[in-house]
Amino acid sequence: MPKVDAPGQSGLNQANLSSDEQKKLTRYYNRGLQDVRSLDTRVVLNAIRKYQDEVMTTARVAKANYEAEFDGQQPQSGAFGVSRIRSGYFGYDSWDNCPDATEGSTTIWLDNAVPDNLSGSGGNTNPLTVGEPATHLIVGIGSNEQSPKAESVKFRLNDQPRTAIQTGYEFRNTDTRIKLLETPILLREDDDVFAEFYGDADGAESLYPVGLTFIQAKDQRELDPANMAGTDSDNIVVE
Amino acid sequence: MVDMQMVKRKLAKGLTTGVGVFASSFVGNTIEDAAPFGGAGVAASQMALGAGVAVGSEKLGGAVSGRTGAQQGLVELGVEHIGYGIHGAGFAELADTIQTGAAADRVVTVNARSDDAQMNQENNASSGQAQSFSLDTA
Repeated sequence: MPKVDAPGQSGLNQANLSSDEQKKLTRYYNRGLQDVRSLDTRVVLNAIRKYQDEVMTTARVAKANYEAEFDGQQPQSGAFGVSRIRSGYFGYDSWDNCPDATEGSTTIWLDNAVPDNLSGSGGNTNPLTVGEPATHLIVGIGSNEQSPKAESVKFRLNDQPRTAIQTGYEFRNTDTRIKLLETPILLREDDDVFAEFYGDADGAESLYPVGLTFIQAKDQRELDPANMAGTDSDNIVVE
Repeated sequence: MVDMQMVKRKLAKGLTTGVGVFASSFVGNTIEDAAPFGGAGVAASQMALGAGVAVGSEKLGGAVSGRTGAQQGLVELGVEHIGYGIHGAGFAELADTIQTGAAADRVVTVNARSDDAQMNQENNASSGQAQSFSLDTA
């Protein structure tokens, strides 16, 4: 049962964050996640803060997995840090390279072939896999398009289909174009991810997952998304 | 029957003490400009100067009355209370410095706490209830 209502039910190894590490996480909320708009600079930050218990659980899972200290947005060597989910962490050079939507059809967004830097066979039987250095928490789905065409998005995680998430309303009737999830998704090492979306109109689409990635310092120094993908499990995203 | 002389003396003492308090600002600024003291050092200097003026009021009063021809007793009284004013203002500034330092720490903490509390309130307000845990662990 992947959906849990208490941190202890997850069955995942967790390591508690020290007081200092918790302060660093709070500092990241208040500095690293501050929006860069001239107005309403806390809209997305406050949205993510609604998931702070799940964020904390994700940080604990990452800490247990990495056996390292959490060190905020710019971790020192040997520690692990946190950032928004970069496109390279899921194989894309840019989220804007998401395939276009086709009216009345489903389009694959995440598998091991569609993203720029993955070249597997693709399809729902060939998902992409989360690599060892990364632990993700997806709290919502956003679109970079001014006029998004995705009406809904559906994940398939570890070969188990998830609920189709309706995105059309939030994409077209809000300025942030972010659909927040009631139940965020924690993805860790070896988790298989497949996602597709349904388009109710033809046009460009640029979906991106809203959330955080807890990632080891060495891998957080990687700049080029092309170097984040590969076939070995020590890559951030595995084909 | 009201002793008007006594009332005048009291008023004069209050007035000259007030003058001393006013003068203490000038004294403090002068010390601050001239010496590398911190806030507490300036306050202590004001207190020392005020005490010095009060203690030396007889000589100072004599010198002033000698030059101006004013009644020496009154001048001495005035100078003495100007000294008290400077002295008292130094105390007040010292207390202010100490409390401001303590308050500065408190402000940071309180702001941080209120910031978090505010965000929690925003979170809760926007959700209408406390957030409950729910996580898809894949």
